[in-house]
Amino acid sequence: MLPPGSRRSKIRPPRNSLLSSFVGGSASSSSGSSSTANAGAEDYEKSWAILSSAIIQIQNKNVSNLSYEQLYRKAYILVLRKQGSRLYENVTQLIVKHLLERREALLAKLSKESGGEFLKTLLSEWTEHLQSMKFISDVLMYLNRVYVKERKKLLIYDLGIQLYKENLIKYNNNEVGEKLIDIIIEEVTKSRLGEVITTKMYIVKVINMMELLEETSPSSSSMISEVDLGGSEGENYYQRFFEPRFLASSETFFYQLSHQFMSENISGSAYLHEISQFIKDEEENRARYYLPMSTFPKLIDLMNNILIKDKIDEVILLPMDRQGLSFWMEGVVRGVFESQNNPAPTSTNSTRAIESFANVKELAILYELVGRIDSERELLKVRLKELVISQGQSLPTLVREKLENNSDELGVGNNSKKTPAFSYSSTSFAIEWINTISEYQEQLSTISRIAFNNDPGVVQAITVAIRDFINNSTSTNNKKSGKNSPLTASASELLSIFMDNYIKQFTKQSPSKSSSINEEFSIDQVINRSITFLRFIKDKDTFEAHYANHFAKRFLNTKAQSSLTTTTTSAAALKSNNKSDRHSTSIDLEELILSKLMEEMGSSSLEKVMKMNRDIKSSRDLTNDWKRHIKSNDVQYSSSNLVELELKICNVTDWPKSMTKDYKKYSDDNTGGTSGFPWPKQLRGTLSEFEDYWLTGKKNDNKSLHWSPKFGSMDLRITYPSPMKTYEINLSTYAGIIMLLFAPQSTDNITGELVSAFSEMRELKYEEIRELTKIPEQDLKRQLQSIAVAPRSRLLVKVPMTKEVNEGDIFKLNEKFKSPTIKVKVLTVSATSSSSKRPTVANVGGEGLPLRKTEAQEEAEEVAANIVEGRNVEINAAIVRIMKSRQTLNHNDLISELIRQLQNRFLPSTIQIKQRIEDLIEKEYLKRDSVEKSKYHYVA
Amino acid sequence: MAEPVTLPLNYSRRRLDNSLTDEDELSPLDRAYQELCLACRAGDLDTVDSLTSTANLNINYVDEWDYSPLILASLCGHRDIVELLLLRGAVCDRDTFEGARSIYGALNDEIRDLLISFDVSKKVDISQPFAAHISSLLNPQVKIKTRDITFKFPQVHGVLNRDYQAFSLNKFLLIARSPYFREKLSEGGDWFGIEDVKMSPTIDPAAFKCFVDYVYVRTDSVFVDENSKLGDLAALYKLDDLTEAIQSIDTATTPEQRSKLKNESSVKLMEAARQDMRNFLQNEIFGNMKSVAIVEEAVEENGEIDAEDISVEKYITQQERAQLIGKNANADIIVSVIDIDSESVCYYPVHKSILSRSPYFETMILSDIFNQSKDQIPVIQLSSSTSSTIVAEMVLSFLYHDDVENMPLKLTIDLLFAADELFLDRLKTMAAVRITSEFKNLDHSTISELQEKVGYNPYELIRVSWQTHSDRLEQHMSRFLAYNLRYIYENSDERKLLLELIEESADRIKDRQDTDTIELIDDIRYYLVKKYGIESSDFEPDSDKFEELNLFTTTDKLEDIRLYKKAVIEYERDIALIESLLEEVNLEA
Repeated sequence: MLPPGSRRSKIRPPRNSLLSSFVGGSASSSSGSSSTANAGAEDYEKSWAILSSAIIQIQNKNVSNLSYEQLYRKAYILVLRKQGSRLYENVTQLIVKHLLERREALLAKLSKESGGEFLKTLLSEWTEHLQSMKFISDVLMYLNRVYVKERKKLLIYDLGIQLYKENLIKYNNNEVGEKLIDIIIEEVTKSRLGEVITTKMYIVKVINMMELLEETSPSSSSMISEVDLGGSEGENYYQRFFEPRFLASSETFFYQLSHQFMSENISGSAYLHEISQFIKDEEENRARYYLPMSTFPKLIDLMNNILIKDKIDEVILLPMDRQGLSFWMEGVVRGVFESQNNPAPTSTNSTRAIESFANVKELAILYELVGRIDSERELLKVRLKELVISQGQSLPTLVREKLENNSDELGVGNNSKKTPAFSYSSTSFAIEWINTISEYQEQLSTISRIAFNNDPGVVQAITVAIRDFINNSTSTNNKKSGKNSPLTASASELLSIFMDNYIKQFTKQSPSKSSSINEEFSIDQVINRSITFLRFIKDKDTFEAHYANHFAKRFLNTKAQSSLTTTTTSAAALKSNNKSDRHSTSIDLEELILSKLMEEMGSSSLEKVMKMNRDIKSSRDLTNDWKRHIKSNDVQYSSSNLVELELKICNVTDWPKSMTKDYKKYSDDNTGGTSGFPWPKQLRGTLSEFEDYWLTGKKNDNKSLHWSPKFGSMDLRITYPSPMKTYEINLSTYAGIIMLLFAPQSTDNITGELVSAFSEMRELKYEEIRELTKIPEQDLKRQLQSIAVAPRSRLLVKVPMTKEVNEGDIFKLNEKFKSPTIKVKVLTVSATSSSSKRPTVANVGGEGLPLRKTEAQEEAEEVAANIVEGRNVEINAAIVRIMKSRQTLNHNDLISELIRQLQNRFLPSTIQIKQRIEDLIEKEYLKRDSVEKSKYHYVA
Repeated sequence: MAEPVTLPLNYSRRRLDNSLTDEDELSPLDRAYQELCLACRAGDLDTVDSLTSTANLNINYVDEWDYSPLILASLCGHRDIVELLLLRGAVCDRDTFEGARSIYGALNDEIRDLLISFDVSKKVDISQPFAAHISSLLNPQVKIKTRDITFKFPQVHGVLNRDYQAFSLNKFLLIARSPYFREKLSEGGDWFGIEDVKMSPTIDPAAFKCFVDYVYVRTDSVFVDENSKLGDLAALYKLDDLTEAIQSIDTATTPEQRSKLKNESSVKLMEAARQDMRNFLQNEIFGNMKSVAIVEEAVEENGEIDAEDISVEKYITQQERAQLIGKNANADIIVSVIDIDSESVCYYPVHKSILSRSPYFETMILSDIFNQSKDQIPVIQLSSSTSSTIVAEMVLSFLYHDDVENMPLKLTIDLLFAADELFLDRLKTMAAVRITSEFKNLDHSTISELQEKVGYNPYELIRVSWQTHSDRLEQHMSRFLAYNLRYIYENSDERKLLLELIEESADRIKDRQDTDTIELIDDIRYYLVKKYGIESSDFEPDSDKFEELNLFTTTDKLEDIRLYKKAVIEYERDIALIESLLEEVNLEA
């Protein structure tokens, strides 16, 4: 049907043919319909012949003779003539045919080529196919854009990919595909076994290809035309075929690997190194390199589970000889003892030191590996905690061995005695133990820093472990579990001993003592160590009690003072050429430490110590006041020959009972004066003057004064005749009193001056001394030992010259006393050593004395009692506090609240709490609910 | 969210009628504007699309009720139209009455957000599709490399910003846009036939960059405030419109004014660019067209030969090709068309960069197959369905400047096929609109009118629309059939044609297998509903609803009801006709 008015032309306009298909069908030309249809078919065949030959040329990479325009038009007209589906169909067939041919060729090559070569061949096949599909798709653009879109079929290019998958890769039961997967798995396995493979790039590309091969629904595998375009979210070939097989083969491989390692009895260290290296390789060089993002985590999970999760605990728990955690950490303990022998470690070389002792590398790897399976690293924490506890529990024994070794080395020459027993509560043990733990803890924190990345959780676990072994070293729990620690003293006590020792040393300026380790520590270091250690202690109140005790002793026993106790106030006095500077050092140090402790424990904690400290200060003030008083009344006193007096006045209630309990013993109730204790006449005057001053002055706050000769010290000046030499001797009050017995008593008849004591040559029997001084037997013997037996301070000569002091022994002045220095300090023999043979003494003495406890034991019990008492008070206070605010509370809530409030100080036992509750009910602070027995009410 | 609404059919029909009666008094531009407003109300995206490229039409005009097309589309909730208008340069400025109105009146939040996102204070993209394409040629990522001249600037004062060192441009655009460059690049000019130009240091590279943006119709980046040297350059390059625009902007005293003037200038510059492209096309491409008479030996027995069998390449030698593109067109490809009337092949020197607006040409130019052919200067056919230089020139006009003037009705269908083959959807719409807007009268007299003016009857047009996937044409024709159903039914010739069409539509279903209703019948039924203005829910004239209305309504309303009942009855009759037709061809639907 020509447009009207068009003139007859020899050229037929294209529109004519465009509309021919429906024109042909119209009724107006019914006669020609069949011929037109035939013509249409012929037309199709003609066009298809051109197109198909072009497609074949494209597939054979020979496109230079093709005309894009012509081919496009052929396809365009076919589509316009509703031949689209036929064209699509034919193109599909043509591609399928081509692919099946290529497949045959490929399979033929497969038998000749190696895996790697085959991958390469296949990839070039794939690239060529994509290239030809691109050409075909360009040519069939109109088909794509019109027919395909309308019928919702696959675009030509995508069709090509699908056909490739169906007819090349998956044809004949996934033949080529399986081969591909086999080859890749084989290559990957080679790489895993350490072989260098050259096929990496091919693997990457083949996997990319597999990802492009869409697998939509399981049923559509053969029906290309039914493939739904909406399935882009669906699986691809990679996911469906490759990934499962790859993961399965990887799983097997990992199992074999870990099994192989474990069965070869390799060391834990080797396992860690091997595995960590393998994992790194697998991740970086393989998985990340060729796996898609979706598979990567699956593979890594698999690997982590098999290589780490299933095995790591086994590795950690390997015994020493197989190098598990205990092996890696063993160096820490060794390091502690070895580094102590070296100069003090500085922070820079401590790291290096630690590395040489512990297996930091392995620990770091372990940390890394455990982190891969659990970001919280619970397993590592648990195992580390166990190990630290067990190491910590072994420390006391090790410390003791070390001490014994040291003394073996040092003491063989000097000491005829056998190896001294280092008791687990001795001072040297305390020092060594705490220093060891401090070192140990420092080493652990260095390890945490280097190997564990300062992971707060791990650090916390270590801290908990340290706290655990420190506090449980003496607890009953431990005994139950059979791991009885040899420690006899609590950590609190040991810390207190430790601090006491150092404070004494720092106060004493002359480092005469042969203490081996102390000089290397500064005050700050000691304080820091103490505070750090204190943090590990659970029962802070115990420490407090011990500390208070030591504090009191330090004050009362330090040089040049004698002290006397009073009822509410105790004063101590004796002459002294006090060296105030030294004194202030000690005061400053005490205060410094006190402030640090308060910082750590809270200001309310050290109340007792604070009060004692106040007494110390007021004592100092009183001493000064007293001195001023004497000066201002110079005339009055000049004749009375007063001795210099340094006072230590203690409020009985604030000081440890062990010291103050018998303060009245020395005073006679009837006279109220000093008559209870026979003070030497040389002192009596001064004491009574001071009593007057005390009673008349305003210092006393209505407190009575009791003198206590047990404490304090005395300075004596003794001039020896040949060679003429005067020594200033400082000794305890008791010892001073004994010495004063030997002071000259007769006056020279000629000069009227006192006869030299050495002329008098007074000899006194033990019994006489006892009678004259009224010093308790226990103390007397100690004092006599100190001044008559101890080699350096043998002021008296004892007959017979035995070590023990016995009845009937005779004492006289030692004319031949010599000392390299003018000033001599007489050290009182310690209570323990003097009483070490207590039973013998008791028997020999035969006075039926009961087997008394040693002073130290007494003291310990005292402290313990104090602690219990203190706790009772604190628990009571806490209960009342809680109940006051809550009014009504049931038993369990009360207990948990109590524990919460008190745990910072100590952990109250349930029994103790129950007792307290009963106590408070009795005192009518609380009452039980009449119905619900487990409920308490606060009674206002 | 509210659904888009269409203003009542009666109302819109009245407006339509008015516009038809007023037709004679209105200028074509005003008419286009009125149609645009109407399309914006009705939600007719294709018409809006087509009309917005009308030359000189300012789509920001307001009508006598102060409605702009944007406001109308916004009020009626046609989001796609709102977006299209905004993209085509409709200004939404909150600070103006119109802008605020369109935002506040937006039917739903989606449209409001869209409007706000286009708020003029940000940026107005007033580029037309052709301008967008031209400016994209400057994009470094452009796939088809066609830039054929490079201007290099010396580094006088230190290191020059990389952007300013060299400008790679298209000669033909420079020629089209600047008389100065035209002179320089023409035969005998300084830069004729060379590829690198060293620029004098007196030229400011920054100003040159603005000039380049001007050439490539990047109107939003031409006016850089600080650049005073652009004025000098505009004078040097004899760019009167640019000079004028710069001067006009300089009169601004406030930033707001300045920004407003900039927008106005941008619109003007774009129109100027269109005019430049139009002139270039006329002078350098159409003007240089080479026509060669066809002499074919291989003729069929009846003395005819299919146009598609004629090889256009053989009628032009390589030398002639070089000559053809070497003129001022500076073309890089030759497009041919067989002109049936003159029995000759006509060759146009054109540009790959412009042809690539068509996905077909783009694919072809990028295809290895095309590039492997040995021809230095390729000759391609415009389209297999084109057999007239007029159609070819319409296609080229569209490609070069969007604007197709004077589309002859007779060639519209040819144009439609060509546009379909080249995937130029907008051109397809324009062709379809040409017919649908020409034949708005739904009277049966249009049948013969169509045959006479377009060369096809409605049934053929529906077939054409099926082939070319032109929904617009299909809908319009289906509507036409619906409105004239009785006439057709009663006229045996027409009836036969309709029956054939119905059968063919039924065949299409079989082929497609995805629906079991006959599209044509569905469409006709749909338009019958529209025709009688009834709602599909109340087909029953004596339903309860009617009874209720009877009781409570005034006489006016009663009259309405009477009319409505009448309409329903007529509707029923027409539906019966369809059933009868279907029975005749043994179909069910």
